[in-house]
Amino acid sequence: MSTPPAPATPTPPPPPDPAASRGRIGLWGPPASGKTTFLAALGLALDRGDFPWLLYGRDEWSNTFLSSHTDLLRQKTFPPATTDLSRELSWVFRGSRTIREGRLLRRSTREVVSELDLELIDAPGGYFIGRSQPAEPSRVRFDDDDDEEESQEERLYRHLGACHGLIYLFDPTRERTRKDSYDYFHHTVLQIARRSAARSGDRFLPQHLAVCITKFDHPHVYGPAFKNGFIDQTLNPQHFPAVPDDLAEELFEFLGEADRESSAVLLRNSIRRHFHPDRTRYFMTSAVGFYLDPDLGRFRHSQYWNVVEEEGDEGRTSRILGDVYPVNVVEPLAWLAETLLPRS
Amino acid sequence: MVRARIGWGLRGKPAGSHDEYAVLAAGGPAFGKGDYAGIFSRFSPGNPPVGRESPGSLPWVVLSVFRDDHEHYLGLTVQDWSNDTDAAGRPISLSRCFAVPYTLVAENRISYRDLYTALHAVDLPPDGRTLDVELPETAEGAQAALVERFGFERAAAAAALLLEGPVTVTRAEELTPRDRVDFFEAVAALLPCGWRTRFTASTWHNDGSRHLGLVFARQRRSGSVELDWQTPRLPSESVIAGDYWGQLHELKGVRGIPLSVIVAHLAGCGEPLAGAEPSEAVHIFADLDRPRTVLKAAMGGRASAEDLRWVFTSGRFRELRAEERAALFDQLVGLGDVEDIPLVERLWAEAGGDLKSLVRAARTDLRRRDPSEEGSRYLGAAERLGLADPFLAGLVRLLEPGEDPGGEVMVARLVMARSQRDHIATFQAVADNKAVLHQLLCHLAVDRGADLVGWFRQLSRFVPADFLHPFFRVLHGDAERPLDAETLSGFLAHGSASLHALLVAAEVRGRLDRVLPEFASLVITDARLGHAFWTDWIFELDPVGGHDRGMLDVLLLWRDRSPRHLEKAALEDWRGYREGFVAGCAIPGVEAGLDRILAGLAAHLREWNWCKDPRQVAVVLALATAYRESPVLTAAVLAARAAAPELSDDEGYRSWREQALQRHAPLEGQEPVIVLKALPRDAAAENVGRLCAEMLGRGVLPSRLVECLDQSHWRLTGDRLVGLLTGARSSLRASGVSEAGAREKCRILTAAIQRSRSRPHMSDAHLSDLRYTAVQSICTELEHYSFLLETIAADTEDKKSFHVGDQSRQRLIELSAWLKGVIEASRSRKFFGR
Repeated sequence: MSTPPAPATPTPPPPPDPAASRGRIGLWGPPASGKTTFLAALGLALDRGDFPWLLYGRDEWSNTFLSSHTDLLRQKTFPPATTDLSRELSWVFRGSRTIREGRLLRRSTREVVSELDLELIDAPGGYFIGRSQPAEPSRVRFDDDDDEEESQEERLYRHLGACHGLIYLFDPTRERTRKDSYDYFHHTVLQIARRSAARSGDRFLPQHLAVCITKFDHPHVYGPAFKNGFIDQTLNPQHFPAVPDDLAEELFEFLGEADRESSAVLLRNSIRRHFHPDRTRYFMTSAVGFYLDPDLGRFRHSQYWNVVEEEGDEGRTSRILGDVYPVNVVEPLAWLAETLLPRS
Repeated sequence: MVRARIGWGLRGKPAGSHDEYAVLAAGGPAFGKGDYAGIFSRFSPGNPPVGRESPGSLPWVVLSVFRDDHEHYLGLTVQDWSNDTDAAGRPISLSRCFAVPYTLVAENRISYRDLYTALHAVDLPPDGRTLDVELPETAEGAQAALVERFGFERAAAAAALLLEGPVTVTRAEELTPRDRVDFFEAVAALLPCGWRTRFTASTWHNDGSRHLGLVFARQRRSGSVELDWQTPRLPSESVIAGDYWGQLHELKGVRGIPLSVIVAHLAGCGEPLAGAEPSEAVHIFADLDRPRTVLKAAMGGRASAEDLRWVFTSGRFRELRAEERAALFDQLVGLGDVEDIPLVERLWAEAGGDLKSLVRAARTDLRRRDPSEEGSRYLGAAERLGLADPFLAGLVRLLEPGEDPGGEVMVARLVMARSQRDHIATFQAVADNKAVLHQLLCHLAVDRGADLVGWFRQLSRFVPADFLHPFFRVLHGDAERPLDAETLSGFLAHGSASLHALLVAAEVRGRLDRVLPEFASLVITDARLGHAFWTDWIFELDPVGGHDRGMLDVLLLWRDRSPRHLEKAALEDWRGYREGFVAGCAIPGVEAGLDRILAGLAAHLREWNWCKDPRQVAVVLALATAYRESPVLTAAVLAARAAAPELSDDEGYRSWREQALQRHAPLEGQEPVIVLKALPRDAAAENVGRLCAEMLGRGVLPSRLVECLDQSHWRLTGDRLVGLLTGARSSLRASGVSEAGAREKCRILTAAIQRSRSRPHMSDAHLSDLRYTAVQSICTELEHYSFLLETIAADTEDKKSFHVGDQSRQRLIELSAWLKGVIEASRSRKFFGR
């Protein structure tokens, strides 16, 4: 008589990470560089990809922001321009990761659950160059004026200065016409330096910096990248174009150097001067991603841009053409999260 | 319509622009683009959603407040989508802010709703130019209609909550932006107009400014109170809001004041409330229907005097119904403040004054003041109102038992001073109120100038003759015809208080003798005067003559109380006192208690230190002589020497003592015991020694003597022992006893004291202490005499030489040896054999 098989023992859940951490992530970029769209795409990006992370709001407001903006993209609509500094979005980035334990020959690894509190502020781009208010009000008074009340800009700079990781959005399409990316970067990095340089153990600012070259799907970005061999279409089943991580920085430089009047060179130099190379990483991103031909179920080079510009009663408007497949939206956040958590 | 020149600012961005949102243009007298940038930023409702169909979609309307150096402005901002997009293809929203001076709004009663109607679609002038518009004045009743439209409960809750802080209205998705503006007006209409200088609101709020007070939103924003549109109610913890809400409900619901009246009242409160405490809004409210508010508070006993006065001085009592104003007038009069009398008098008829209230006010005042000053002012008012007689009658009747007793003296004085012959009600009331009648009669007795005949004639119309007649006879009658026992006994039928009043009247008139003998007989014989309070009343009587005093003291002693007048009589008329005392003791019936009276007198004499004043000695000896047969009284007078041995030197006392000891032979042997036992606590030791020497001389055994000392209050100490022996020696020597004889007596006395250690209070410790302090005292004396010896015997030239003489020197040597022997013996032997 055979012994009945022992009931299958379910895999025990990984232990909680003793080093659960709290981190502030700063989001930064000029007007219309896609900051809000970037945040809006996070939910979809996680669900499209195979990421071991959960993302949810710590409070009702943060959850509402996440869900309403995801809905917006699902409706193929871009978020409107941000006109006001939001309050701090408090999100939880929860997932499992591998940590190392022990020393030398006894070293081992194990899976732990990590939880990272992400605190972000969605700010109008104008704040990053100090032009949110054209001039200091001179005659108007408010009865409930509080002398100690923090200005909106000061609140943003204090937030960025206290951040452990920064996501800087570089919009090549804006740079192509306005050539002011450096201005937005420089003004803000000085504010960050003033508030955080003293924390650093080296000559650089203490933060990790994820430089996101946005609007990858835009013809002005994808076109040069494709023509100059930065694209690899073998990295995902839908054949979406991708720029290998080690080429992203090179593409960033290439895009900047292509235009002699561009401020991108200054921007690149400023990034290198302020942030440690080991703490800087470049990502080619697109919040809405490339257009996926619904009939073929894959990317087609002949119709890659996932945005449609239309002339109508409301002027020239933009809308999302197809489903949203965000590119490198979660990755910068995940990279920063990893850097914030201890490795062993 | 009101023509107005108002400022404006436009915020947005140019079409196709990469620019950030900014103030594109502005105009008006007060503010520039920078100012509007600040206004837009401060009162931003947040980022608008892109959709155009949701409850939070544009247009948004924001109500704001700001000011320049001179005045407040109400801001109306309308934010809506333009037809343009920016460089990123995103729709551009435009915000138009209009700055309307608050005074323009307040004076012309322009509602938010009308502002919105007039301005939301107005064409803006070119950059830099002022906007000239015509603003409509809000139609009367329009605001109340808005409140009714949204529901009083909802609007009132929002208004009340706004007093405490920001409010978020949720679950109101069905309202259009215009509806929401209308709701803002409905809420503002239920607040004082001046609150608009701090009233801020937004038709939607999407994580925007915290400076916005009332907003619609999907969910409650942080730091605000939620008002659920579907089920509006106040949070239970709201305090100021609760008060305000309660007042609104009270006015509208309970008192039935039309909403339009409430709204009109609030619209009239235009003083800016920016920066004011929220509670001020609550107080402002109080002025609406204030008379009734005061009435309600008054009925609850909470109305302040100021409020009560205000209702009548302002004339607003006329807003009340007749019975209400009368009730409130009662409260005003009831304050009892004489400063209010002119007001009370002036409005008496119109306000429906009630005489009872006036009487009660006067009564309250009588408790506080001298009626000759303020109490009469109420009477003066009553007189001027033609109500003097019922007023006085009411005042008297208020004092009747069961009403509000007390103050009879004051009322009686008022009646006496101000009543007229035709005050029938007053005199009838007095006749019915014995307490006041008694006081009135006593006052007549005091007033030497009073027309007694006239008064008694007037009173006789209302007061029974058998009551009034004894008073008349005592106060006015012939001295040769005192009240007889039968009359007084009959008078007692009117009650003890009446008899007491008769006695007091006689006393204050100085005619107590007219009634006292018969009264004393009644005290002795009539059980109706057996009550304890009579003892107090007798004690309180204060006659002027010694005779009456002596008789009253007999009554007090009869009642087992100490004689009250003896000491005073000794200083004034001791002979009269003795006669009165003797007369009192001769009253039939007293003889049975005479021993008790004399025992009481003797006890009093033991306590009273009468020996120091010859006049007091005289009266005591007079009484002791009058009752010489009383051994108790005699012993008490004999014992007085314990405190004053010098009495032996008083000729009168000595003579009395000799006779007393002859009359009471047994007392002669007992006298030492009597005297020594009576020693006071503070008797001088030398005097005690004198008494001891006298007793020893009269053959009293030392042990008996010491026993008497032990039984007295006087306590023997070491110091006193030395003093006692010194006094005894001096006395013995003065009486001719030799030094050796005196010394022997002292030794015997000391030995007797030594033996007394066996008694409980003479413990070993006590004796040890006695010895120690006695020796210390002797040492001090020896030292003193040694010093005298040295000083006196010293040579005037050679300070080291002394002249004492051979005989004295020999005696000093012997004394020295004696002392030395004692000193040496004290090493092994103990004083007193211990």
